[in-house]
Order: sequence, then structure tokens, then C-alpha cells
Amino acid sequence: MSPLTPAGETPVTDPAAPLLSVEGLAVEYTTARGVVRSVDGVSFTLKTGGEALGLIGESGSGKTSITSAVTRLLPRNGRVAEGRIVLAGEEVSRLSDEEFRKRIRWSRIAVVVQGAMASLNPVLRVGDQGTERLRADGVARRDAEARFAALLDRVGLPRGTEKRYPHELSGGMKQRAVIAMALTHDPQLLVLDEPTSALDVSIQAQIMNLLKELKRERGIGMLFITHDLGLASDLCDRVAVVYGGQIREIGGTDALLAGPRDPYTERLLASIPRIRSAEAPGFLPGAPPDLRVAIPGCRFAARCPLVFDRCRTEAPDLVTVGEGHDARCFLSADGPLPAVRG
Amino acid sequence: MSGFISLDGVSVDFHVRRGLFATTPVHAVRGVSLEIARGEHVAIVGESGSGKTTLGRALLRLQAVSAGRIVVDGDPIADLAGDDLMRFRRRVGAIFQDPYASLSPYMRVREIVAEGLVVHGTVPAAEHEARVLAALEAVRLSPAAEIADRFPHTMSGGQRQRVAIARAMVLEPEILVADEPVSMVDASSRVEILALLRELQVSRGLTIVSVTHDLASARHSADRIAVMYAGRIVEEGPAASLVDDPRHPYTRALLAAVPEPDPANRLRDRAVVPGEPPSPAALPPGCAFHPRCPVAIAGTCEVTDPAATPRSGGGQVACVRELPGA
Amino acid sequence: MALLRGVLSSGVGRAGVALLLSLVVLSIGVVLTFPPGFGLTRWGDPAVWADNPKAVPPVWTNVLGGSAAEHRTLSIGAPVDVRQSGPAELRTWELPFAQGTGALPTFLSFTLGRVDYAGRPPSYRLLLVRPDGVEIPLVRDVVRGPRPGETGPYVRYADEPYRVLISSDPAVTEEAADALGAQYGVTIDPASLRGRPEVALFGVPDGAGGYTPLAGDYRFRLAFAFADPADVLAEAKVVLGGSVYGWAGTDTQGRDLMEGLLFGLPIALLIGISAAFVSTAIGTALGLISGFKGGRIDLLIQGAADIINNVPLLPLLIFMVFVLGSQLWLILLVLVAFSWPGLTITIRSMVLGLSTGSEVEAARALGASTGRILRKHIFPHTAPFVVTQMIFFVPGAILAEAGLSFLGLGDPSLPTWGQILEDGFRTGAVFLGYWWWVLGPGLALVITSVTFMLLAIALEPVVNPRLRGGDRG
Repeated sequence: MSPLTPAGETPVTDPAAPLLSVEGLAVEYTTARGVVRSVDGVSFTLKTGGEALGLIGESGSGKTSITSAVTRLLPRNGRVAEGRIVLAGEEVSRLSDEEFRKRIRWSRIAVVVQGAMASLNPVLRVGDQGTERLRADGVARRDAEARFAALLDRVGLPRGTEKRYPHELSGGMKQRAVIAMALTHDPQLLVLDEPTSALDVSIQAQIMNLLKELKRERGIGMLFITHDLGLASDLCDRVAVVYGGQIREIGGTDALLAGPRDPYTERLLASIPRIRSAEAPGFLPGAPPDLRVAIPGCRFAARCPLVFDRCRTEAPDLVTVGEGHDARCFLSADGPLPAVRG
Repeated sequence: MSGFISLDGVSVDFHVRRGLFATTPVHAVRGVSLEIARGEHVAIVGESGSGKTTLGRALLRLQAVSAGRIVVDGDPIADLAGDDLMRFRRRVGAIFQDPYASLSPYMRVREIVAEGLVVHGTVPAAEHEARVLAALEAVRLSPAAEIADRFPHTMSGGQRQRVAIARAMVLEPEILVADEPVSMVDASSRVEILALLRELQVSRGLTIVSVTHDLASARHSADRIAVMYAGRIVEEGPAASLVDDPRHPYTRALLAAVPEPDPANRLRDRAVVPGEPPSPAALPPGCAFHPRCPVAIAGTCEVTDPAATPRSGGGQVACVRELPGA
Repeated sequence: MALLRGVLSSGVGRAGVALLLSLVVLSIGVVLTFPPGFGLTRWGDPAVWADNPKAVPPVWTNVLGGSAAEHRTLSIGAPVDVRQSGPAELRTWELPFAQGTGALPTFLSFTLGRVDYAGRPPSYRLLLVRPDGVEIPLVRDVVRGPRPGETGPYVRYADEPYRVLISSDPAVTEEAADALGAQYGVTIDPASLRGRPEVALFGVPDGAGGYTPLAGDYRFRLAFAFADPADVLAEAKVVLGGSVYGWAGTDTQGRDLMEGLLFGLPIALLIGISAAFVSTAIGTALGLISGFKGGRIDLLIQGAADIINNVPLLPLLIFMVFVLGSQLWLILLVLVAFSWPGLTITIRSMVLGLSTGSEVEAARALGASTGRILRKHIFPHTAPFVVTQMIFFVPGAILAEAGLSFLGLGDPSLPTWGQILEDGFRTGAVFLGYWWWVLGPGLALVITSVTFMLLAIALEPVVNPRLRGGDRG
């Protein structure tokens, strides 16, 4: 896990290292009302060989800040205050922006952002946009075009799509085109920020199927950001539930869905309306914490149905509750959570 | 079914300008018939372009219908004018999708909620404050007096949507038309807002027509669900029956696409229908769903646009072959 | 309020607000202290400015080096001596002043104010008493007597003071030549002093036709012989013309440019703010109607906007001024009539977006009237933009008026900065080196424009949501 290459030298990819390791990440934003730490001490790893990790959270939870720190796409008033980001043994958080842009983004970490359809340039043909970076990297036009055409075909777009302009494509087709563009350099890691939130359910299901196929056949690592636990469980091997800038619970999807050990995860799961069950979904009252104000105890205490005195004064740490399964609650270590009504 | 609200062959066409003179007709809603009983919650479910929002606007008389008619409690709403129209406006409240855009950022909650009272003038001004506070209490925004002084931008999406509901409820309407009331609200607040609508429905005998793309939410909040595709209601019936025993291939496709937090999902691909919904400007002939339908009958579905037939579990379904029950 | 706080949060905004406040305070002061009808009764009346030096630079040029003559006005106070002789009374006033060896007064003038007499007109004399004891008579005259048929008591010079320009009086040169010649034993040709007697009045002849300046304490002595002790001299003064004047200098008519500049300020603000207000009001109203009503009204308004937007304004204005005469209100009217289309087009597009939005939908569903929707749900969204546009428009209107005045199309009854510039330009101020004549109004225009520009620049991030930081939750 230690950085094997000092910055500036040719990176040596350590086959034993995890694909992505985020250690003690803190992200701060400078706002009119002072500095807000919207991500605080977040650590997780992503195994090589096509693991998908879901980052789940409500708006303002910090999930997007985490991935923006990984992809160096933080807004101008944001910065990584603490922590290391290690990609296959190389500490990419130490690279300069210029170097990161040249060597890492798109070629090793590809990003499909929220509302990706809007990120297409309306006056360029799909093919020109898809081959732009390849051509810049010195690939011959013919080769670049062939490579991109194959990718368009792979994501299920009809022949000739490369000659069309973005406005001629439907929302689903544009999202497929954006995914194809992300794959041109065969990246090791694909960061997907709410890639289907603007799509209709039936199209969303098609895209999710496509992502599953890509994950299986390419062994590509995925970081999947969503507010929808159901959607995340469809694709991700592991999920991390983010709340108030911290990871509340991280673990294998199956274990986490079957037996959440953090009350927030439990409430989030309970609040999802189940189509095949007559049981009414549960409440999760209140609003996420305001991080501009210091919270002495547990950040979920104000909304927690299981809250007790200690929660209001002392902040709980992540505790290991199972294999690769950590949760942040004083009750986590005591086995399954007590039942909650509502 | 006593038709408190009765939609009879309602169609809405738009004319979209193409170039200088040419216009293309867009058939947003095509011959929708639906009976809604007093005190019932009917959810209209569909994807973008299905015509569900246009239908909701027609019901609010914000959109003129091209054919057919909408009758509310015996009055065809297209004929209403003057005082009758204002009375209709008092009887029918509206909630919109985006609680960020639907509330004026320049007004305090008090003024937003009181707007209906001010516009109609049926309640003496001296009673406005009490009515506003009562409406805020009714949507569980408390302390109401403190909330009334706030501006929307200081509130969360869920709180704003409650303000929008309070604005609609302050005139004590009999009908509430809600366009995607929770789609832009944080996941954790959705359940509460839907439960609030249910409570208003039960305690005040409110009739609710909601429009949504979220079948799972509809199943838990509505009494009946009407599934729309390409401007038509393809299947309609009691919520539980429709979800547990879908008879139309499109309803089945929608159900299969709903992401459930089930570990088993990860190991298999979703059963999805190929392609995308057609543009209302270029609908396929025959049944509009046939190009995507997994059980289309060649030679029939391309030419026959099936009429609605009674559905065994209640309601109606529009398919040349009503699929056998599950 | 939030708008003001936003503006004040930036340095640019604070500078703008501070400048605006000073301009407004100054304007109020001007409006309160300047006489009504300043343009015609004061600025346009040469008599008012007769005692001022013509085309001299501002006094502060002295600071930059150079010794200029100070402009001095000596007015009478109480008489130093009153003597009875029979029924008549002789009153004497003295006006002392110091004269250095530096620059001489550019001219001397004597002005007699109101004189009241009962029977016979008083006679009077004005003498210059020099440090060397020489006394030179400057004026000797009798107050104008009764006209045929007029009966006493008589009032003279009340409405129009009686003024004698000592410097150009041939009698003075002769008196000076005599007095100095006698004292210093030289012969002086009075003709050599014609038009410029000051060298002799304040100097000692060297016998070769030249003069050495004589520094020291001088005084004017004014002696009045009244036939009746009840006769009154209310006012008299001697002016020693300076070679610099005021904070802004004078023009060729001797007008104090500072007064003109000060008077121009409220006019400029009035022109700028009223034109901006009316034009934004029209632009906004038409934009709202156009965007919200649609249909024929929309086509009509947009058509008109397109046409007016493409009419060349300046030639039209020149033409109209020629036909209808130059009046300020007319200029304003035309400025307003031709400046609304841009705003209308922008507001219309904003309204088109808003009127299909859910805030308006919700208001419609509540049964709100068109007027209420426009007022409560559409206009507030456009208001910040409208306010910024209005502020941006203010310097435009001021400069447009200045431009027209500069072309000689201004309203003569109201001196504006543009007209002062035009006066200077027509007189050839630039070529004659009267730089202060151009600098003052130019600077005033720049400062006023910059004030509003600063305000608009500071407002931009406050009202433009895309530039506004922070989240919306």
C-alpha cells in the first residue's frame, strides 16, 4: 500500500496492490461562510479484477466530492485537505494537475458524470469527439476511428452513429456514446456518477445491463455513485453508504443488504418502496446534517431511531463487523440491530 | 364506478413548428378514458413522452384538449368560465414536480401558501394567517409560525414540497393533481411525503390523481394505477393487482426494470425490452408498443391498435392478447 | 436590501456606492443653493461674469509652480470717516490690500451698487493710495440724476449695478501719468499706458519707459458727498482681476467653470437616471407583455423593436433637433423612445422561459390572474436583471446628451457638461491652450459614468445566479 514510485518517475504498477486505495480522504470547500469539510476521513479500497464499489448517499452527503477528489474534478473552491489516493500502487494524489490530466484521466481513470449527455459537444460529430483523445495521443486517424467504431458497436449503438451529431441521438443513445468514449483508452477504473438518473426506467435497465457486461468481460473496476441503493445493488459487489461526509457502513452488497449494521443503512433500505411487497416503506425523518456546524457526537444522531445519550456526545468510529464489513455505530459490534418500527 | 372525475376519449395534440410554415402534429395524449371515484388515489405511471404530464395538465385545465371531454362532478371542465372556472380552481389543487422551481424564491412561505386565499378572496383577510398556519400544520411543517417566515431557499427539497402541498390545500380542494410529487425530493423524504398524501386523502376524502414514473412508489401510495405508453392507457387496475399480476407486456417490462435492492439481481441481467419509447411525433402504426413488444403477433400488432377491454383483476387492458395471469 | 448588501461586499461596489452618494449629496446641495433659472439668469448673462478674469486657469495651477495674480474683490464696509459740511455729508471708505512684486492684477474695475438719495444726486471719487504716498484718482462721477418728471426719493443702480472698467479708462492713464511724473520727476506719455495702466499704478517709473513693481500696502479710497445725511450707499466694490480663478478656471466670458460643472451634475444625473428609468420601464413592460401574451401583440412589439433597433439614432436626433428645436425634454424623449428594444427582446426571452415554468403553472392552477402572475411570479425574476440594465443605461444616457450638446444640439437654457465642452471646442480652447475648459467637463463625465459602471459591475455577480456562489438548498 505504500507508494512504490516517487512522483515524477515512470510508474511501476504493483500487481499486488489494490486497483484503487483511498486513505483518510478529507475534502474542504471554501464558501462565503467559511470552510466546510464535506468529506472527512474516508478510506476504501477497490480490488483489481473488475470489482464495482457503490457509493450511496443522499444529496449533500459528500459522495460526489469523494469521486471528484479521485478524478481531480473538484470545483475551484474545493480541495483535498488530507489523505492519499493510490491507483495501482502509484500515489496519484501527488501528481500535478497537468500530469494527472495527461497520464491518468481518461487513459487510466475514465469518468462518466451526472447528466453526461450534456457533456457532449453539440457541434461535433460523435465520432470526432470519441477519437479526439486517441488522435491527440498519436494514434493514426484510421486506427482511432476503427477502435471507436468497435466500441460504439460494443455499447449497442447502430452502425453509422459516429457520423451523427449528439442532438440526433436519444437520451439512452447519448449515454451509450458517452460510455463508449470513456472506454477508448481501456481504462482500469471507470467512475460513474449517477449515470442513469436522467433516463427512463426501461432505458436505465438497458444501461445497467451494459455496465454489468462491461464489468464481466473487461475486468474494469467501477466506482458507482448513486442515491439509489436498489440500483447500486444491481451492479456493485460492495457498497459504501456515505452520510455527512463519512462512510457509515461499507461491506459486501449481499451482507449489507441482508443485515445492515448501521441504523442509517437500515433506515435507507427500509425507506425504499418494494414493488413486490405489500409492506409499506419505512420513514427516515429529518434532513442531512449541516456540516458548517460542528457536530460533537454521531452525525446521524439527530435522525436516528435508536439514538441514546452517548451518541450525542461521542462520535462513533468504524468497527469491523464481518469480513470486509465495517459499520459506524456503537451498536454495530453487538450483532444485528434491534428492530425499528415505522 | 361512479365517475367523480370522468375522462372520455381525451386527446391532446400539439403542433410543433418545423421550419417556416410546416407544422408537425404531435399526439401527446390519444383517446384516454378513465373514471375516478371520489376519495380515490389514481396514479398515472409512464416514461417520458408517454403523455402522463400532459394528461395531468389537461385535468387541471392548464391544457386544452383536442378531442374528448373531462367531466368533474358533472361539469365538463372545458365549458367553465368566469366564476365557475374560479370555483373549479378552488376545488382542484395542484402540486408540481420541482419544489425548487414551483415556489417563488422572492416570497416568504406565508405569502406562498396564502396566494390561493388572496386570489379567490373567499376567506376574509383576517383569517388568512390562521388558514396558512393550519395548512402548514396539516403538512407537518412545524412550528408553523416560524416556517411561515422563511424563504424557500432556506428549506430542503422535502420541506419545499410540503409548502407546495400546503399551498394547494389551503383552499381545501376536493381534488389534488400531483405531477411527480417526489421525483425531485431526496430519497429519505419521499416516503414521508407519499404518506402525507395518503393521510390527506383518507382524512379529508381527497381525490388524488398523481403522475409518476416510479411504479414502486405508485404501488404503495395509490389505490389504482394507470400505465401510459405513447399517449394511451395500456393497462389500468387496482394497484396491487396490476403490479402482482400485470397483463400488458409493457407493464411487465416496466416492472422488470425497477431496481430492487436484491442481491440476486447482480448475478443476472435485467429482462429488458429493447429500444426506446417512440417520439409522440412519429408513432408506429398499429399498437404503438409493437416494435419493442416481446410477444407481438406478426401481422396483427402492426395494424391493430387494440381497444381497452376489461381486465380480469379489475380495470382495463389494451392488448390484442390479454396475457394470462401469473 | 440583499442587493445592497451584495453590492457592498465587493470593493468595486463600495467605491461605486461611495461615489454615488457623494454625487447625490453634491447634487442636492447644488439644487438647494443655485438660483432658479440659473441657466438664463446667471450662466447666460454676461453682466454677471463681467468682473471675472477671462479664460484663466484654475487657482490650483499655482501649486504646480508659477506666480499668478490672485483674483480679489474688495467690498466696502463701514465708512472710515464721516464729516458734516452744512446740510451735506462726506463719507469716506477705505479698501486696503497688499500688492507684492509678483504678477499684477489683470484688470481693475469699480462697481457701484444701490444708492438712495432724497434730492440732489451724490458725487463720488475713487482714489488709489500707494505705499509711496502717491494718490491717483481713478473715478470721478455723479450718481445719475432724476429723469424728467421723476420725483424723490431716488433709487439708483439697484437692479443693475453701475460698473466702470478702470483699466480701459483713458482718464486713468492720464491721471497716473501726471501723478507719477510729478512724484518721480519723469515725463510719462499716457498713451504708453493705454489699456494697461496697472504697470504704472503698481510700479515706479525708471525714466526709460519701464516700471519697477512697487510692493507694499495699497488702499482704495472711496469718498462720497451726499446732499442729505439720510442718503445711503449700500454697496460698492473694486475688483482686482486675477490670472487664475476658482477650482475650474473661467471661459472667455469670464464664467466660473466650476459653477457650470456643479450645475451640470444634477442635470446629468437627472438626464441619466430619468432616461434610464423610463426606458427600462418601457422596455420591461413591453418585454413582459410580449413574452407572456404572445400572438399578435408579441409579433407587433417584436417587429417594432426590430425596426427601432435598426434606426440610426444620431442622425435622427440631429434631424429632430433641427426641426423641433433643441429642448432637453425632447432629447430625453428620443433617447427613451429608441433605447427600449434591447431590453424588451431580452426580457421577452426570459419571460418565455418563466411562463412555462412550474411557478407560473402553479399560480395558474390557483386561478391567479394574468396581472398577478406577471407582477408576482414573472417580474421578480427579471427585476435584478432590469435593475442592472437600468444602472448600465445611466452613463449611456448622460454621454448621449453630452454627445448631442457637443454637436451643438443641446438645450441652451440649461448648461450641461456637453455644452461647456462644446463652448470650449467652438472657441478653440484646445488650440488656445485653455485646457481647463475641456478637462473639467471631461473629468465630470468620466467620474459620473465610472460611478454607475462600478455599481453595475458590482451588481452583476449579485444578480446573475450563474456567478453567484453557494448552493441553493
